[in-house]
Amino acid sequence: MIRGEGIHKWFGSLHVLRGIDFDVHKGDVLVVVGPSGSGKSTLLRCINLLVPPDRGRILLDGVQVNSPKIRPEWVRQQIGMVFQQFNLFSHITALENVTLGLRKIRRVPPEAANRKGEQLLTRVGLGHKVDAYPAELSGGQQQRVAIARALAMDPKVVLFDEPTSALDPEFIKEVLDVMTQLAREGRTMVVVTHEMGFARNVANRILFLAEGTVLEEGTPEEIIRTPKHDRTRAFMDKILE
Amino acid sequence: MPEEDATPPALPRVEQVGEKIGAVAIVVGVLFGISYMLNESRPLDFAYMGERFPILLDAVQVSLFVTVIAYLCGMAIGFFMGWLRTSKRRALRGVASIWVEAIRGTPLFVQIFFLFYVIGYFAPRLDNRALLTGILALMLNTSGYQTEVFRGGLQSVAAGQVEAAKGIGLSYWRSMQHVIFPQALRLVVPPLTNEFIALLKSSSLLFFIGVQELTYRGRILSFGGNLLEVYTMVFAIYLMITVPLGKVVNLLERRYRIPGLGLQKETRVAPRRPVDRSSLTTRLLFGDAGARRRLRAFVRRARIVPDAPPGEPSA
Repeated sequence: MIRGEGIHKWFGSLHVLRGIDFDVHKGDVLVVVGPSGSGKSTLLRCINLLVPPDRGRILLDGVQVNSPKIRPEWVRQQIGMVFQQFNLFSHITALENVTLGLRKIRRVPPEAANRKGEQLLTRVGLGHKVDAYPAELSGGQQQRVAIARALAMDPKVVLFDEPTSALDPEFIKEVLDVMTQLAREGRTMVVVTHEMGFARNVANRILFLAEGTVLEEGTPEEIIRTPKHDRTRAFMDKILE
Repeated sequence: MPEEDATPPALPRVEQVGEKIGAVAIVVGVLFGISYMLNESRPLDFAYMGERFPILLDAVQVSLFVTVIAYLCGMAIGFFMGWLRTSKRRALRGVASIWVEAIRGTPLFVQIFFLFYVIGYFAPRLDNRALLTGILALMLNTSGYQTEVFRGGLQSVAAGQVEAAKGIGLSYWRSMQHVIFPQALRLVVPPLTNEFIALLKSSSLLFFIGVQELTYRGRILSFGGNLLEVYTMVFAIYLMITVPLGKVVNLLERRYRIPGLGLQKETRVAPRRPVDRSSLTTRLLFGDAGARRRLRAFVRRARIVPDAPPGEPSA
Protein backbone atom coordinates (compact mmCIF):
# COMPACT_ATOMS: atom_id res chain seq x y z
CA MET A 1 0.00 0.00 0.00
CA ILE A 2 2.70 2.46 1.00
CA ARG A 3 6.34 1.95 0.23
CA GLY A 4 9.53 3.87 0.67
CA GLU A 5 12.60 3.21 -1.42
CA GLY A 6 16.02 4.60 -0.58
CA ILE A 7 14.80 7.73 1.17
CA HIS A 8 17.42 10.34 1.93
CA LYS A 9 16.98 13.65 3.67
CA TRP A 10 19.45 16.38 4.47
CA PHE A 11 18.85 19.36 6.74
CA GLY A 12 21.65 21.61 5.56
CA SER A 13 24.74 19.48 5.99
CA LEU A 14 23.03 17.14 8.43
CA HIS A 15 22.25 13.81 6.82
CA VAL A 16 19.10 12.82 8.71
CA LEU A 17 17.82 9.90 6.66
CA ARG A 18 20.40 7.73 4.95
CA GLY A 19 18.58 5.49 2.56
CA ILE A 20 15.48 4.10 4.26
CA ASP A 21 13.30 1.36 2.79
CA PHE A 22 9.98 0.24 4.17
CA ASP A 23 6.83 -1.44 2.97
CA VAL A 24 3.42 -1.26 4.63
CA HIS A 25 0.63 -3.46 3.39
CA LYS A 26 -3.07 -2.78 3.73
CA GLY A 27 -4.14 -3.36 7.33
CA ASP A 28 -0.58 -3.40 8.63
CA VAL A 29 0.57 -1.57 11.69
CA LEU A 30 4.20 -0.54 11.34
CA VAL A 31 5.80 0.75 14.51
CA VAL A 32 8.96 2.82 14.17
CA VAL A 33 11.22 2.96 17.21
CA GLY A 34 14.70 4.26 17.83
CA PRO A 35 16.71 6.69 19.94
CA SER A 36 15.92 10.39 19.67
CA GLY A 37 17.53 12.03 16.70
CA SER A 38 17.44 8.83 14.69
CA GLY A 39 15.10 10.38 12.11
CA LYS A 40 11.77 8.77 13.08
CA SER A 41 9.74 11.94 12.92
CA THR A 42 11.43 13.07 9.74
CA LEU A 43 10.67 9.74 8.13
CA LEU A 44 7.00 10.12 9.03
CA ARG A 45 6.95 13.65 7.63
CA CYS A 46 8.59 12.41 4.46
CA ILE A 47 5.77 9.94 3.95
CA ASN A 48 3.11 12.67 3.73
CA LEU A 49 5.56 15.12 2.16
CA LEU A 50 5.43 17.65 4.99
CA VAL A 51 9.18 17.26 4.60
CA PRO A 52 9.88 16.34 1.00
CA PRO A 53 12.57 13.64 0.70
CA ASP A 54 15.71 14.72 -1.15
CA ARG A 55 16.29 11.34 -2.76
CA GLY A 56 14.34 8.11 -3.08
CA ARG A 57 10.73 7.33 -3.81
CA ILE A 58 7.50 7.24 -1.82
CA LEU A 59 4.89 5.02 -3.45
CA LEU A 60 1.22 5.15 -2.54
CA ASP A 61 -0.67 2.29 -4.17
CA GLY A 62 2.16 1.96 -6.66
CA VAL A 63 2.14 5.63 -7.64
CA GLN A 64 5.24 7.68 -6.92
CA VAL A 65 3.94 10.63 -4.94
CA ASN A 66 7.10 12.66 -4.35
CA SER A 67 7.06 13.86 -7.89
CA PRO A 68 6.61 17.33 -9.32
CA LYS A 69 3.60 16.05 -11.24
CA ILE A 70 1.67 15.36 -8.06
CA ARG A 71 0.29 18.00 -5.71
CA PRO A 72 1.37 17.31 -2.14
CA GLU A 73 -2.10 18.35 -0.89
CA TRP A 74 -3.63 15.51 -2.86
CA VAL A 75 -1.26 13.08 -1.16
CA ARG A 76 -1.91 14.46 2.31
CA GLN A 77 -5.65 14.15 1.83
CA GLN A 78 -5.15 10.41 1.58
CA ILE A 79 -2.76 10.16 4.52
CA GLY A 80 -3.98 11.13 7.98
CA MET A 81 -1.53 12.47 10.51
CA VAL A 82 -1.65 12.69 14.31
CA PHE A 83 0.93 14.95 15.92
CA GLN A 84 2.78 14.75 19.19
CA GLN A 85 1.39 18.13 20.27
CA PHE A 86 -2.14 17.38 18.95
CA ASN A 87 -2.17 20.65 16.98
CA LEU A 88 -5.93 20.98 17.03
CA PHE A 89 -7.13 24.20 15.41
CA SER A 90 -7.66 26.32 18.47
CA HIS A 91 -10.26 28.71 17.05
CA ILE A 92 -12.90 26.09 16.23
CA THR A 93 -14.75 23.40 18.16
CA ALA A 94 -13.89 19.71 18.29
CA LEU A 95 -16.56 18.92 15.70
CA GLU A 96 -15.40 21.69 13.38
CA ASN A 97 -11.85 20.42 13.72
CA VAL A 98 -12.94 17.01 12.56
CA THR A 99 -15.10 18.27 9.69
CA LEU A 100 -12.85 21.06 8.38
CA GLY A 101 -11.29 18.90 5.70
CA LEU A 102 -14.65 17.44 4.66
CA ARG A 103 -16.26 20.86 4.38
CA LYS A 104 -13.45 22.80 2.76
CA ILE A 105 -11.72 20.18 0.65
CA ARG A 106 -14.35 17.58 -0.12
CA ARG A 107 -17.15 20.14 -0.23
CA VAL A 108 -19.37 17.79 1.76
CA PRO A 109 -22.62 19.57 2.76
CA PRO A 110 -22.58 20.69 6.41
CA GLU A 111 -25.25 18.25 7.66
CA ALA A 112 -23.49 15.22 6.20
CA ALA A 113 -20.12 16.46 7.43
CA ASN A 114 -21.47 17.03 10.92
CA ARG A 115 -23.11 13.62 11.00
CA LYS A 116 -19.83 11.99 10.07
CA GLY A 117 -17.91 14.16 12.49
CA GLU A 118 -20.22 13.23 15.35
CA GLN A 119 -19.90 9.55 14.48
CA LEU A 120 -16.13 9.78 14.53
CA LEU A 121 -16.07 11.68 17.82
CA THR A 122 -18.41 9.09 19.32
CA ARG A 123 -16.06 6.38 18.14
CA VAL A 124 -13.17 7.93 20.04
CA GLY A 125 -15.43 8.31 23.06
CA LEU A 126 -16.05 12.05 22.76
CA GLY A 127 -19.63 12.18 21.50
CA HIS A 128 -20.43 14.51 24.39
CA LYS A 129 -17.66 16.98 23.60
CA VAL A 130 -18.55 18.00 20.04
CA ASP A 131 -18.98 21.67 20.93
CA ALA A 132 -15.95 21.99 23.18
CA TYR A 133 -13.03 24.12 22.10
CA PRO A 134 -9.59 22.47 22.22
CA ALA A 135 -8.52 24.54 25.23
CA GLU A 136 -11.45 23.06 27.19
CA LEU A 137 -10.29 19.49 26.66
CA SER A 138 -7.66 17.45 28.46
CA GLY A 139 -4.57 16.34 26.58
CA GLY A 140 -5.96 12.85 26.11
CA GLN A 141 -9.26 14.20 24.81
CA GLN A 142 -7.48 16.59 22.45
CA GLN A 143 -5.40 13.77 21.05
CA ARG A 144 -8.52 11.65 20.50
CA VAL A 145 -10.15 14.54 18.64
CA ALA A 146 -6.97 14.74 16.57
CA ILE A 147 -7.32 11.06 15.74
CA ALA A 148 -10.94 11.61 14.69
CA ARG A 149 -9.78 14.52 12.54
CA ALA A 150 -7.16 12.34 10.88
CA LEU A 151 -9.81 9.71 10.13
CA ALA A 152 -12.38 12.14 8.72
CA MET A 153 -10.98 12.13 5.20
CA ASP A 154 -11.06 8.30 5.04
CA PRO A 155 -7.29 8.12 4.66
CA LYS A 156 -5.58 5.06 3.26
CA VAL A 157 -3.03 5.21 6.03
CA VAL A 158 -2.74 7.12 9.31
CA LEU A 159 0.61 8.34 10.61
CA PHE A 160 1.12 8.79 14.36
CA ASP A 161 4.06 10.91 15.50
CA GLU A 162 4.69 10.00 19.16
CA PRO A 163 0.99 10.46 19.95
CA THR A 164 1.36 9.85 23.68
CA SER A 165 4.68 11.57 24.42
CA ALA A 166 3.12 14.91 25.32
CA LEU A 167 0.41 13.40 27.50
CA ASP A 168 0.18 13.21 31.26
CA PRO A 169 0.52 9.56 32.30
CA GLU A 170 -3.16 9.19 33.23
CA PHE A 171 -4.25 10.02 29.67
CA ILE A 172 -1.92 7.69 27.78
CA LYS A 173 -4.12 4.63 28.05
CA GLU A 174 -7.25 6.20 26.57
CA VAL A 175 -5.31 7.25 23.48
CA LEU A 176 -3.57 3.89 23.09
CA ASP A 177 -6.95 2.15 23.48
CA VAL A 178 -8.38 4.13 20.57
CA MET A 179 -5.32 3.32 18.47
CA THR A 180 -5.54 -0.36 19.34
CA GLN A 181 -9.19 -0.40 18.38
CA LEU A 182 -8.34 1.21 15.02
CA ALA A 183 -5.68 -1.42 14.39
CA ARG A 184 -8.18 -4.18 15.20
CA GLU A 185 -10.57 -2.68 12.65
CA GLY A 186 -7.88 -3.14 10.02
CA ARG A 187 -6.70 0.45 9.75
CA THR A 188 -3.30 0.83 8.08
CA MET A 189 -1.04 2.71 10.44
CA VAL A 190 2.54 3.87 10.81
CA VAL A 191 3.30 4.72 14.42
CA VAL A 192 6.36 6.35 15.93
CA THR A 193 6.24 5.59 19.64
CA HIS A 194 8.13 4.56 22.72
CA GLU A 195 5.17 2.55 24.03
CA MET A 196 6.61 -0.97 23.80
CA GLY A 197 3.44 -2.54 25.23
CA PHE A 198 1.48 -1.11 22.32
CA ALA A 199 4.17 -2.18 19.85
CA ARG A 200 4.20 -5.73 21.20
CA ASN A 201 0.42 -6.15 21.15
CA VAL A 202 -0.56 -4.27 18.05
CA ALA A 203 2.31 -3.97 15.59
CA ASN A 204 2.81 -6.35 12.70
CA ARG A 205 6.32 -5.16 12.18
CA ILE A 206 8.78 -2.97 13.98
CA LEU A 207 11.38 -0.82 12.32
CA PHE A 208 14.37 0.06 14.47
CA LEU A 209 15.98 3.26 13.29
CA ALA A 210 19.39 4.54 14.35
CA GLU A 211 21.27 7.48 12.87
CA GLY A 212 19.06 7.64 9.84
CA THR A 213 19.27 4.00 8.81
CA VAL A 214 17.09 0.97 9.43
CA LEU A 215 19.23 -1.01 11.82
CA GLU A 216 16.80 -3.84 12.17
CA GLU A 217 13.33 -4.81 11.03
CA GLY A 218 11.12 -7.66 12.15
CA THR A 219 8.13 -8.83 14.12
CA PRO A 220 7.61 -7.36 17.60
CA GLU A 221 8.81 -10.69 19.04
CA GLU A 222 12.09 -10.52 17.11
CA ILE A 223 12.83 -6.87 17.79
CA ILE A 224 11.75 -6.70 21.43
CA ARG A 225 12.69 -10.17 22.72
CA THR A 226 15.55 -11.30 20.52
CA PRO A 227 17.16 -8.31 18.87
CA LYS A 228 20.09 -9.20 16.64
CA HIS A 229 21.87 -5.93 16.96
CA ASP A 230 23.68 -4.68 20.06
CA ARG A 231 22.28 -1.17 19.61
CA THR A 232 18.75 -2.51 19.46
CA ARG A 233 19.29 -4.64 22.53
CA ALA A 234 20.77 -1.75 24.48
CA PHE A 235 17.83 0.45 23.50
CA MET A 236 15.25 -2.17 24.44
CA ASP A 237 16.93 -2.85 27.77
CA LYS A 238 16.84 0.81 28.58
CA ILE A 239 13.25 1.38 27.54
CA LEU A 240 11.78 -1.80 29.03
CA GLU A 241 13.33 -1.69 32.46
CA MET B 1 8.31 35.26 64.37
CA PRO B 2 6.09 32.28 63.76
CA GLU B 3 3.20 34.23 62.18
CA GLU B 4 5.54 35.15 59.33
CA ASP B 5 5.32 31.66 57.86
CA ALA B 6 1.64 31.04 58.56
CA THR B 7 -0.52 31.20 55.43
CA PRO B 8 -1.80 34.73 55.34
CA PRO B 9 -5.52 35.39 54.86
CA ALA B 10 -6.60 36.53 51.40
CA LEU B 11 -5.11 39.98 51.04
CA PRO B 12 -7.02 42.90 49.65
CA ARG B 13 -5.68 43.42 46.17
CA VAL B 14 -3.40 46.29 46.89
CA GLU B 15 -3.09 47.18 43.21
CA GLN B 16 -6.84 47.51 42.95
CA VAL B 17 -6.96 49.72 45.99
CA GLY B 18 -4.23 51.85 44.49
CA GLU B 19 -6.10 52.09 41.22
CA LYS B 20 -9.26 53.23 42.96
CA ILE B 21 -7.38 55.79 44.96
CA GLY B 22 -5.82 57.07 41.72
CA ALA B 23 -9.22 57.37 40.08
CA VAL B 24 -10.66 59.19 43.07
CA ALA B 25 -7.66 61.53 43.05
CA ILE B 26 -8.24 62.43 39.42
CA VAL B 27 -11.93 63.09 39.95
CA VAL B 28 -11.24 65.21 43.01
CA GLY B 29 -8.56 67.10 41.10
CA VAL B 30 -10.90 67.81 38.21
CA LEU B 31 -13.65 68.93 40.59
CA PHE B 32 -11.16 71.22 42.29
CA GLY B 33 -10.12 72.63 38.95
CA ILE B 34 -13.69 73.27 37.91
CA SER B 35 -14.65 74.83 41.18
CA TYR B 36 -11.59 77.05 40.91
CA MET B 37 -12.69 78.16 37.48
CA LEU B 38 -16.20 78.73 38.69
CA ASN B 39 -15.33 80.69 41.80
CA GLU B 40 -11.93 82.29 41.53
CA SER B 41 -11.91 83.03 37.87
CA ARG B 42 -14.64 83.59 35.36
CA PRO B 43 -17.20 80.76 35.29
CA LEU B 44 -17.52 78.49 32.26
CA ASP B 45 -20.06 79.97 29.89
CA PHE B 46 -22.43 77.05 29.52
CA ALA B 47 -24.82 78.93 27.28
CA TYR B 48 -21.97 79.58 24.87
CA MET B 49 -20.96 75.95 25.02
CA GLY B 50 -24.49 74.74 24.31
CA GLU B 51 -24.73 77.07 21.36
CA ARG B 52 -21.40 76.15 19.75
CA PHE B 53 -21.40 72.47 20.51
CA PRO B 54 -23.21 71.50 17.26
CA ILE B 55 -20.51 73.25 15.23
CA LEU B 56 -17.90 71.06 16.82
CA LEU B 57 -20.06 67.99 16.34
CA ASP B 58 -20.07 68.80 12.61
CA ALA B 59 -16.32 69.13 12.70
CA VAL B 60 -15.78 65.83 14.44
CA GLN B 61 -17.50 64.17 11.51
CA VAL B 62 -14.62 65.34 9.34
CA SER B 63 -12.16 63.95 11.87
CA LEU B 64 -13.96 60.63 11.90
CA PHE B 65 -14.31 60.53 8.12
CA VAL B 66 -10.60 61.14 7.57
CA THR B 67 -9.64 58.68 10.30
CA VAL B 68 -11.94 55.87 9.20
CA ILE B 69 -10.97 56.06 5.53
CA ALA B 70 -7.27 56.29 6.35
CA TYR B 71 -7.56 53.51 8.90
CA LEU B 72 -9.30 51.07 6.56
CA CYS B 73 -7.00 51.73 3.60
CA GLY B 74 -4.04 51.57 5.95
CA MET B 75 -5.36 48.28 7.24
CA ALA B 76 -5.40 46.78 3.75
CA ILE B 77 -1.79 47.87 3.22
CA GLY B 78 -0.79 46.86 6.73
CA PHE B 79 -2.33 43.43 6.38
CA PHE B 80 -0.49 42.82 3.12
CA MET B 81 2.81 44.18 4.40
CA GLY B 82 2.48 42.30 7.68
CA TRP B 83 2.03 39.16 5.71
CA LEU B 84 5.13 39.97 3.64
CA ARG B 85 7.02 40.46 6.89
CA THR B 86 6.42 36.79 7.68
CA SER B 87 7.45 35.64 4.20
CA LYS B 88 10.14 33.06 3.70
CA ARG B 89 11.69 35.22 0.99
CA ARG B 90 14.23 37.73 2.20
CA ALA B 91 13.50 40.26 -0.51
CA LEU B 92 9.80 40.43 0.37
CA ARG B 93 10.59 40.71 4.05
CA GLY B 94 13.07 43.46 3.21
CA VAL B 95 10.52 45.52 1.29
CA ALA B 96 8.09 45.33 4.16
CA SER B 97 10.69 46.24 6.79
CA ILE B 98 11.84 49.26 4.82
CA TRP B 99 8.20 50.35 4.72
CA VAL B 100 7.81 49.97 8.44
CA GLU B 101 11.12 51.60 9.34
CA ALA B 102 10.57 54.59 7.07
CA ILE B 103 7.15 55.26 8.53
CA ARG B 104 7.82 54.54 12.16
CA GLY B 105 11.20 56.25 12.11
CA THR B 106 9.89 59.69 11.13
CA PRO B 107 7.46 62.03 12.86
CA LEU B 108 3.90 62.02 11.53
CA PHE B 109 4.02 65.79 11.53
CA VAL B 110 6.92 65.80 9.08
CA GLN B 111 5.22 63.15 6.97
CA ILE B 112 2.11 65.33 6.68
CA PHE B 113 4.06 68.40 5.56
CA PHE B 114 6.28 66.39 3.26
CA LEU B 115 3.27 64.89 1.50
CA PHE B 116 1.52 68.23 1.41
CA TYR B 117 4.38 69.82 -0.50
CA VAL B 118 5.03 66.81 -2.69
CA ILE B 119 1.41 66.72 -3.76
CA GLY B 120 1.42 70.47 -4.19
CA TYR B 121 4.48 70.19 -6.42
CA PHE B 122 3.03 67.55 -8.71
CA ALA B 123 -0.59 68.68 -8.70
CA PRO B 124 -0.65 72.37 -7.91
CA ARG B 125 -4.21 72.88 -9.03
CA LEU B 126 -5.72 70.04 -7.05
CA ASP B 127 -9.00 70.74 -5.24
CA ASN B 128 -9.19 69.42 -1.71
CA ARG B 129 -5.43 69.20 -1.55
CA ALA B 130 -5.42 69.41 2.22
CA LEU B 131 -8.06 66.74 2.72
CA LEU B 132 -6.42 64.34 0.27
CA THR B 133 -3.01 64.90 1.76
CA GLY B 134 -4.45 64.37 5.19
CA ILE B 135 -6.09 61.08 4.33
CA LEU B 136 -3.04 59.87 2.44
CA ALA B 137 -0.62 60.82 5.21
CA LEU B 138 -2.66 59.18 7.94
CA MET B 139 -3.19 56.11 5.75
CA LEU B 140 0.52 55.65 5.09
CA ASN B 141 1.35 56.31 8.71
CA THR B 142 -1.14 53.85 10.16
CA SER B 143 -0.21 51.23 7.57
CA GLY B 144 3.30 51.16 9.01
CA TYR B 145 2.05 50.55 12.51
CA GLN B 146 -0.62 48.08 11.42
CA THR B 147 2.02 46.13 9.49
CA GLU B 148 3.72 45.40 12.77
CA VAL B 149 0.43 44.51 14.43
CA PHE B 150 -0.43 42.00 11.71
CA ARG B 151 3.08 40.59 11.66
CA GLY B 152 2.84 39.97 15.38
CA GLY B 153 -0.57 38.35 15.00
CA LEU B 154 0.53 36.06 12.20
CA GLN B 155 3.72 35.09 13.98
CA SER B 156 1.95 34.20 17.18
CA VAL B 157 -0.11 31.54 15.43
CA ALA B 158 1.70 28.39 16.49
CA ALA B 159 3.80 26.59 13.90
CA GLY B 160 1.94 23.38 14.74
CA GLN B 161 -1.29 24.91 13.45
CA VAL B 162 0.26 25.45 10.04
CA GLU B 163 1.62 21.94 10.00
CA ALA B 164 -1.73 20.46 11.01
CA ALA B 165 -3.52 22.45 8.30
CA LYS B 166 -1.11 21.11 5.72
CA GLY B 167 -1.40 17.69 7.30
CA ILE B 168 -5.11 17.34 6.57
CA GLY B 169 -4.46 18.34 2.97
CA LEU B 170 -5.33 22.03 2.91
CA SER B 171 -3.47 24.01 0.28
CA TYR B 172 -1.40 27.03 1.28
CA TRP B 173 -4.22 29.46 0.51
CA ARG B 174 -6.90 27.42 2.20
CA SER B 175 -4.85 26.95 5.34
CA MET B 176 -4.30 30.71 5.43
CA GLN B 177 -7.99 31.32 4.89
CA HIS B 178 -9.41 28.79 7.35
CA VAL B 179 -6.74 28.42 10.00
CA ILE B 180 -4.02 31.08 10.10
CA PHE B 181 -5.94 34.30 9.38
CA PRO B 182 -8.92 33.58 11.67
CA GLN B 183 -6.58 32.92 14.56
CA ALA B 184 -4.31 35.86 13.82
CA LEU B 185 -7.23 38.27 13.42
CA ARG B 186 -8.49 37.46 16.89
CA LEU B 187 -5.10 38.30 18.36
CA VAL B 188 -4.84 41.67 16.62
CA VAL B 189 -8.18 43.14 17.72
CA PRO B 190 -6.88 44.91 20.85
CA PRO B 191 -3.78 46.44 19.24
CA LEU B 192 -5.83 47.47 16.19
CA THR B 193 -8.32 49.23 18.46
CA ASN B 194 -5.47 51.10 20.08
CA GLU B 195 -4.21 52.04 16.65
CA PHE B 196 -7.60 53.47 15.67
CA ILE B 197 -7.73 55.58 18.80
CA ALA B 198 -4.16 56.75 18.22
CA LEU B 199 -4.99 57.62 14.63
CA LEU B 200 -8.06 59.63 15.60
CA LYS B 201 -5.94 61.63 17.98
CA SER B 202 -3.24 62.06 15.33
CA SER B 203 -5.82 63.42 12.92
CA SER B 204 -5.78 66.60 14.99
CA LEU B 205 -2.35 67.34 13.49
CA LEU B 206 -4.04 67.87 10.15
CA PHE B 207 -5.21 71.29 11.28
CA PHE B 208 -1.72 72.50 10.35
CA ILE B 209 -2.40 71.92 6.67
CA GLY B 210 -5.92 73.28 6.92
CA VAL B 211 -8.13 70.21 7.12
CA GLN B 212 -11.29 71.42 8.79
CA GLU B 213 -11.46 68.75 11.42
CA LEU B 214 -12.34 69.04 15.09
CA THR B 215 -9.16 70.71 16.31
CA TYR B 216 -9.12 73.14 13.40
CA ARG B 217 -12.72 74.25 13.94
CA GLY B 218 -12.14 74.45 17.65
CA ARG B 219 -9.15 76.68 17.06
CA ILE B 220 -11.14 78.95 14.76
CA LEU B 221 -13.92 79.15 17.35
CA SER B 222 -11.43 79.92 20.08
CA PHE B 223 -10.36 83.10 18.29
CA GLY B 224 -13.69 84.48 19.58
CA GLY B 225 -12.10 84.50 23.02
CA ASN B 226 -13.82 81.61 24.78
CA LEU B 227 -10.69 79.47 24.83
CA LEU B 228 -11.56 77.51 27.91
CA GLU B 229 -15.07 76.62 26.78
CA VAL B 230 -13.95 75.61 23.30
CA TYR B 231 -11.08 73.42 24.35
CA THR B 232 -13.14 71.85 27.12
CA MET B 233 -15.63 70.80 24.44
CA VAL B 234 -12.92 69.59 22.04
CA PHE B 235 -11.37 67.64 24.86
CA ALA B 236 -14.71 66.12 25.81
CA ILE B 237 -15.62 65.18 22.23
CA TYR B 238 -12.37 63.26 21.71
CA LEU B 239 -12.98 61.47 24.98
CA MET B 240 -16.59 60.70 24.04
CA ILE B 241 -15.28 58.73 21.09
CA THR B 242 -12.14 57.12 22.43
CA VAL B 243 -13.37 55.90 25.80
CA PRO B 244 -16.61 54.18 24.68
CA LEU B 245 -14.87 52.69 21.65
CA GLY B 246 -12.32 50.96 23.84
CA LYS B 247 -15.09 49.71 26.14
CA VAL B 248 -17.27 48.45 23.29
CA VAL B 249 -14.42 46.54 21.68
CA ASN B 250 -13.56 45.04 25.04
CA LEU B 251 -17.17 43.98 25.50
CA LEU B 252 -17.29 42.38 22.05
CA GLU B 253 -14.04 40.59 22.79
CA ARG B 254 -15.54 39.12 25.92
CA ARG B 255 -18.78 38.25 24.17
CA TYR B 256 -17.05 36.38 21.34
CA ARG B 257 -14.22 34.95 23.37
CA ILE B 258 -12.88 31.55 22.32
CA PRO B 259 -11.31 29.56 25.14
CA GLY B 260 -7.57 29.40 24.74
CA LEU B 261 -7.31 32.17 22.16
CA GLY B 262 -6.43 35.77 22.92
CA LEU B 263 -8.34 37.15 25.88
CA GLN B 264 -8.36 34.79 28.83
CA LYS B 265 -11.21 34.25 31.22
CA GLU B 266 -10.90 36.20 34.44
CA THR B 267 -10.50 34.11 37.51
CA ARG B 268 -13.11 35.29 39.99
CA VAL B 269 -11.50 33.92 43.11
CA ALA B 270 -7.76 33.66 43.10
CA PRO B 271 -7.04 30.10 44.24
CA ARG B 272 -3.71 31.03 45.69
CA ARG B 273 -2.42 34.24 47.13
CA PRO B 274 -1.98 36.57 44.15
CA VAL B 275 1.49 37.75 43.31
CA ASP B 276 1.68 41.21 44.69
CA ARG B 277 3.34 43.34 42.07
CA SER B 278 2.84 46.66 43.75
CA SER B 279 5.92 48.30 45.11
CA LEU B 280 6.99 47.91 48.68
CA THR B 281 6.25 51.57 49.28
CA THR B 282 2.66 51.21 48.11
CA ARG B 283 2.14 48.18 50.27
CA LEU B 284 3.60 49.85 53.30
CA LEU B 285 1.48 52.92 52.74
CA PHE B 286 -1.69 50.95 52.19
CA GLY B 287 -1.34 48.70 55.12
CA ASP B 288 0.05 45.32 54.11
CA ALA B 289 1.03 43.94 57.48
CA GLY B 290 3.23 41.25 55.92
CA ALA B 291 5.25 43.84 54.04
CA ARG B 292 5.80 45.86 57.17
CA ARG B 293 6.93 42.75 58.98
CA ARG B 294 9.32 41.78 56.22
CA LEU B 295 10.76 45.28 56.17
CA ARG B 296 11.37 45.10 59.91
CA ALA B 297 13.04 41.71 59.48
CA PHE B 298 15.19 43.07 56.67
CA VAL B 299 16.24 46.06 58.69
CA ARG B 300 17.13 43.82 61.61
CA ARG B 301 19.17 41.48 59.39
CA ALA B 302 20.98 44.40 57.87
CA ARG B 303 21.86 45.44 61.42
CA ILE B 304 20.50 48.87 60.90
CA VAL B 305 19.00 48.53 64.33
CA PRO B 306 20.90 46.76 67.10
CA ASP B 307 20.42 43.04 67.58
CA ALA B 308 17.51 41.92 69.66
CA PRO B 309 18.52 41.43 73.28
CA PRO B 310 19.57 37.87 74.17
CA GLY B 311 16.80 35.51 75.18
CA GLU B 312 14.34 36.77 72.57
CA PRO B 313 14.03 34.51 69.49
CA SER B 314 15.70 36.08 66.49
CA ALA B 315 14.08 36.48 63.06
